[in-house]
Amino acid sequence: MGGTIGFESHLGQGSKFWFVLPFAVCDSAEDAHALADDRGEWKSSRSACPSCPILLVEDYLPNQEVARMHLEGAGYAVDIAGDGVAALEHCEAKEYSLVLMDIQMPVMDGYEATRRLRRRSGWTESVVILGLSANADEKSRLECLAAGMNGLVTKPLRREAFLREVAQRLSGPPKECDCVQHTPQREPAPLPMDYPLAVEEFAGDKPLLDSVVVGFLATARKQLGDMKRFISTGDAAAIGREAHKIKGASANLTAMPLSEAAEVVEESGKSGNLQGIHDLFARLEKELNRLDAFVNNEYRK
Amino acid sequence: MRILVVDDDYVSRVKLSKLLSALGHCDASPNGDIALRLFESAYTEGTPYGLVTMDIEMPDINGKEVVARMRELEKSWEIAPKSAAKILMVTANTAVKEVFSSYDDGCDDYVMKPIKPDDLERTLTKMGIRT
Repeated sequence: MGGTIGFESHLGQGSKFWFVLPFAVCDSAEDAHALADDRGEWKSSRSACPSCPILLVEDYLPNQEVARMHLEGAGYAVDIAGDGVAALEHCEAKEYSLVLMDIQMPVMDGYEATRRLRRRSGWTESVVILGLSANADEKSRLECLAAGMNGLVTKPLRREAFLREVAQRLSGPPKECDCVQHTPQREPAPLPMDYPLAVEEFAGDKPLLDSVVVGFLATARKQLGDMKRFISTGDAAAIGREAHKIKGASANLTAMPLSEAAEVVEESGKSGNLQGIHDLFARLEKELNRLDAFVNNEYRK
Repeated sequence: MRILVVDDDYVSRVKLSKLLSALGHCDASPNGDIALRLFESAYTEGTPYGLVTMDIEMPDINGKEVVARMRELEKSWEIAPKSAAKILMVTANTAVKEVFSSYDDGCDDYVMKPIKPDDLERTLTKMGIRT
């Protein structure tokens, strides 16, 4: 089945037995058959646009720069995402020919981002995803495959081997992208809040709920202004604190998309790692605007 | 019954007050300091709080600390354990350990944020507060 097995033992401490088996998640019997004769590698049912840009998902700035330099030097267009969540957003907005995915990242790691991309319908089901990891052992490789990646490139990157691998996966050197007008399939975004449920949770008191929502929108707007300042001064703890408040308040209003966007910002703030915070903050702002428009257009006429 | 809702988040305060208003008169405090002052004055007026809901993460005093001080006040007033206020922790913290230790620190039970009316009602019933 292409798996590995092993054990580690320490005298007087105990032993650890482990095995890794590459499995892919199937949504249908057809998929299962397509994968059955596959030797652990994600099977591409159709090849993604070979001339689209490459998406590099990497949280560490020096590594981003090295990979970008190699790829752009060879003529590829490259977009960069700082963590798994940002990668998912990039892939929602446009199509890529190849995804290079770091494994260890804040907010969402490469395994989880890969699993989520594979579950989406559309081009991400079949695009080649290569893991980037400093661990070159068989176990790491198989874990990448198990998450739905097509292979693993080990760091530090060696220019020639890296570019050879990329060119092989894209079956050739970079070409002009001819699918700029391509619009990826998008699932409709969830509603900014479940208004009927919120009315129910406020014991049926719609006027009270409406006044709370108005108060919340004004407060959140001010908090976002404060957070912008904290981002410019790099005050991670304060960013986390404000995001925590927005997360809780919006969840109490059933505004889950906003609450989830705030949660990601909160985690980033609390971890102290502000890499990619601009993307996360932009998403938070977008969700707040969406909620504002939704409430004003649909319910407060 | 008099009820005190303590939460620095305005949305939570209004939502809890609304849901609990069927049980009695609700006061609300956005922080620990005002909560403690209200707790004392309610006792002085002869109508102590029967139920307190307490947020944990607040800007001035942590909710667990506020609860500890409320229990100290009750002790100094020589309130019998069965007449003491029921205290309900309201927390967004999914770390179960945190919740359990607050449970030992003078709280009667807890509910998770976001507040769900069903969950709140179930917990209040469990605490022996009729809904």
